[in-house]
Amino acid sequence: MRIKLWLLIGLSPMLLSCSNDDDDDDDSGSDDKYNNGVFISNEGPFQGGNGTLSWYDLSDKSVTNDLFLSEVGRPLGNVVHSVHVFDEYLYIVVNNSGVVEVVEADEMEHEMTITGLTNPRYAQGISEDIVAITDWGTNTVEIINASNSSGVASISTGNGPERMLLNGNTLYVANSGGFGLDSTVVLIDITSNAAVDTFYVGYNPNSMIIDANGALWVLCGGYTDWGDPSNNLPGSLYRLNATTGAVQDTFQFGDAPRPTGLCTGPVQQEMYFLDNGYGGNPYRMSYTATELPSTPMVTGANGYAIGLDPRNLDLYIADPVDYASQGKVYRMDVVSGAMLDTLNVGIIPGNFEFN
Amino acid sequence: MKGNRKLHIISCALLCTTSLLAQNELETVTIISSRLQHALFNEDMRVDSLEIRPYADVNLSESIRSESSIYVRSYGPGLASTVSRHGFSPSQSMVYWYGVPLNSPALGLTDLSTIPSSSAVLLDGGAGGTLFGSGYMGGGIHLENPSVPMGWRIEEHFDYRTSGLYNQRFTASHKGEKFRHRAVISNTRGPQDYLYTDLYGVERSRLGADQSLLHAEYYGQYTYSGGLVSWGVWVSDMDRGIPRSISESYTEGARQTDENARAFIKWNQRGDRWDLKVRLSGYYEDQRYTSTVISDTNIAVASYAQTDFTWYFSDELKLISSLDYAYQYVKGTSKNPSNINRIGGAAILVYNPHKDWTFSGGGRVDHQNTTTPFIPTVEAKWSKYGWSAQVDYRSHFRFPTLNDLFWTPGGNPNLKPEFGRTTELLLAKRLNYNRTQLELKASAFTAQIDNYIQWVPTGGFFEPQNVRRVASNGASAGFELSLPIQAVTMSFTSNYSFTRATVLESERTGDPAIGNQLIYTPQHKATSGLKLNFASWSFYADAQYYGEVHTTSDNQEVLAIDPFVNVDAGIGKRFEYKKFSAIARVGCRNVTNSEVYFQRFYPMPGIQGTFSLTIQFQSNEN
Repeated sequence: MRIKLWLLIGLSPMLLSCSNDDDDDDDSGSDDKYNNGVFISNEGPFQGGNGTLSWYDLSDKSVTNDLFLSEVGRPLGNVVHSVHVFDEYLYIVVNNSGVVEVVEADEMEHEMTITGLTNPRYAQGISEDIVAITDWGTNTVEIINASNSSGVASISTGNGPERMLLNGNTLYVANSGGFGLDSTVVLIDITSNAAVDTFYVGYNPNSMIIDANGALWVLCGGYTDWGDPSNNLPGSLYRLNATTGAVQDTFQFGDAPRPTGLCTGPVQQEMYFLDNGYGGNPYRMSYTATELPSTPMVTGANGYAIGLDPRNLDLYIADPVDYASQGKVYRMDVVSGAMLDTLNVGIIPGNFEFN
Repeated sequence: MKGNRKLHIISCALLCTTSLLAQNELETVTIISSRLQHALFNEDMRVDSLEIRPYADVNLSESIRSESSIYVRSYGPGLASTVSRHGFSPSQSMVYWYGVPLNSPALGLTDLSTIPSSSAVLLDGGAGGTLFGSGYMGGGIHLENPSVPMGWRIEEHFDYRTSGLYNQRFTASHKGEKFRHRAVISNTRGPQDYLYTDLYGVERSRLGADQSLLHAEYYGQYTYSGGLVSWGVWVSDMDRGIPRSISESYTEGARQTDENARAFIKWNQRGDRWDLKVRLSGYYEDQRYTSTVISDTNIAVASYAQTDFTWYFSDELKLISSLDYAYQYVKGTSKNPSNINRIGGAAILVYNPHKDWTFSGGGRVDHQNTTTPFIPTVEAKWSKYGWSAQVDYRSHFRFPTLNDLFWTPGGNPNLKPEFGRTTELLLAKRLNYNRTQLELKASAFTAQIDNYIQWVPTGGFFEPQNVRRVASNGASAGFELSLPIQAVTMSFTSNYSFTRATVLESERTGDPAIGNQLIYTPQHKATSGLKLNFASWSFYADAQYYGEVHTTSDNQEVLAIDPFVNVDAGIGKRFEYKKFSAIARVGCRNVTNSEVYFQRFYPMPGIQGTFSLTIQFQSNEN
């Protein structure tokens, strides 16, 4: 430490000078640095910590951690919950800080900080500059004009609005129950910014897809009472008519109560999910299946989140390890089932976005 | 610019760090270390008295930062503050009030911010499992009664800080031939709405950090021929806001109330060839935490009984034996009502074959659900020509806390106790030249802990498990110089501690903590203090340097707390009129306006002014 101190004293003018040079370099830096890879949001350590953003570059298979800090020059905030790319912008939802950072996705140039939110969870681009944000704190979907951070509309939902799915002019919002219970999906007409219908599904829906037949699949996480397991309610998977909400089929998870992360590929004929959001394994299921799959794609994944890259059908599985140190992300080829890579990312990786 | 400022501060601190106050202003901290009071300490070189700064600090959390081997992890002034020493965790370091353990039976640790700085403090810098039982792995902090003169002394003390804190303390004491009484009532409150800069560069005032602490304690003592009876009561009521970290949304956080009561009675009797000490004590805490997300109630009750018997075979040889019993009960929203009993016994043989030499050795066995292995201790001391040396080997242990055992969900009733061993070497040399005194001290230690209890993720919640083997090695060096220069008396102290505490092995596959420094344990810490007295004037300055502090088990640099220096300084003037005296002081905390964090993203105040006034009446009886 003493050596470091004297080095610091001796080199401080030089370091300051170098810092300025770096700034100049940044100003004339290359464009489109982040357009062939994966953004990974890392929630960050419990209490007083800050979450981070990682970038996995598919070109050279390299990982850059703390991307927001290095590009924007300050920490992201507390519990970086999710990331979403829409219309050239990357929306970074910082849950416990109550903000959404908006950056130009390819170059990571900071555009705007959307404030005034309470407990934001996910963002969904609606149209140019217009973004929908689910907020657990107010049980609403906030429609925001991201160009000036102004509110366009605030639409009440059920408890714990979570992921959204945009299908034509309809925005489906899964009400995950927050810290309690819900079993609905609310439908919002984005032309009028009004809730127009409610679909009833299993306990605590958290994620949705539309399959090749146009059916709406809703994955429900169930309810877990950590203090009294006798109050647990099982997870389930629902298939519904996306227009009417009529239930076409249901699948019960039984003893695996916390499935999460339903996602699908570009042809929408297979879907993927984790059987347990606290250390589960990834499963694959056909849209024509009549029962839940019994064999995981890989075991021992300790999965916390998954995401499917629609460009190459690589499945990304987030492993939070011990929730207190660097997390891992496993990259898997869903076609061959081969594990392609293991990435060391930030603390508690929790969401993926592909750019 | 910011970097240059830090360098300037560091350079100045290294060259002229300080602390000081007129000795006649200090509430003199004299420790009664008679054999009757502290037989178990046995003049241990590791035991030192902490210089309390009643003029500058309002609680033990602030006072104890002047000790270089200690790191206080604090969420802010008046907020939860826990102590760790030599890399041992807060629940591996014990705090006692007249022998009553203050560590929460549920949490296992002590919140130092709830303890006003009105007691004398003994610091035991090393392990003492044989002497004190469970938890005494990284040492202990012992709160005792400050010495008071004969007759009445009544004192009113008032503090104000520009960061938004008021403190008032009333003390009344009387010392007679046989009886002695001391009562303290202190009241600390304030909005604590000091300014800080948030992650977005916006200057804000701290929101929801207000606190209100009402504390009262009483100590009584009756001395008779060959014996002593003492008793005491402590009650406190704290209501405080728990602000969010600066990385969270700018809204009020949670609230926490703490109601505590402690009481003890001790009887010490001395015969021709024996000492007998009996102590009974009780502990009650009611802690309630409420936020928008979670509400938790924690109620804990404990009672302790201990008997120490010393038999003097001769002037050279004595045997100290000890039996102790503890009952602990806890209930709350996160645990079902549960209780646990603990019983332990220890014996230590002390041998003084020559006036320059002391040898001691002994052991202990304790039982709480499971029985510990034999906990041995051996020690040798030598003292001559102003030199003192001590070498000791001590094993130690810690039983799981009630939260470890009974928390819902995750409590693990099958936990084994942590078990460790520490070897220490201490060296001191005292030099005198005319009225100048110089005392040099150095020490080194090496320690290991097996069955280290850690809360680890198991699905959706965390569960405590015996997962790690941890090593801590370190050394400290320092000096104290007392130098009269004509009418000015000056004292200068400086200490440096190095601590390397790492995880050696883990039961968890791929544990990222292996080989890394433990969190919230700086490798480097240095403290210095200068005091000057001239006539009725006094000046003090204190400085502390904190090396880098890691906050994650894999030691990610980006999440570490950067090194910083904190400097406090002040000046005082004493006024006297017959039996009354008054001391007025003005000071400045965090003189250099450094960014100070003891917990990541929980800022401490920047530069702040302080004013204090103490008015004292002394009856001067003889």
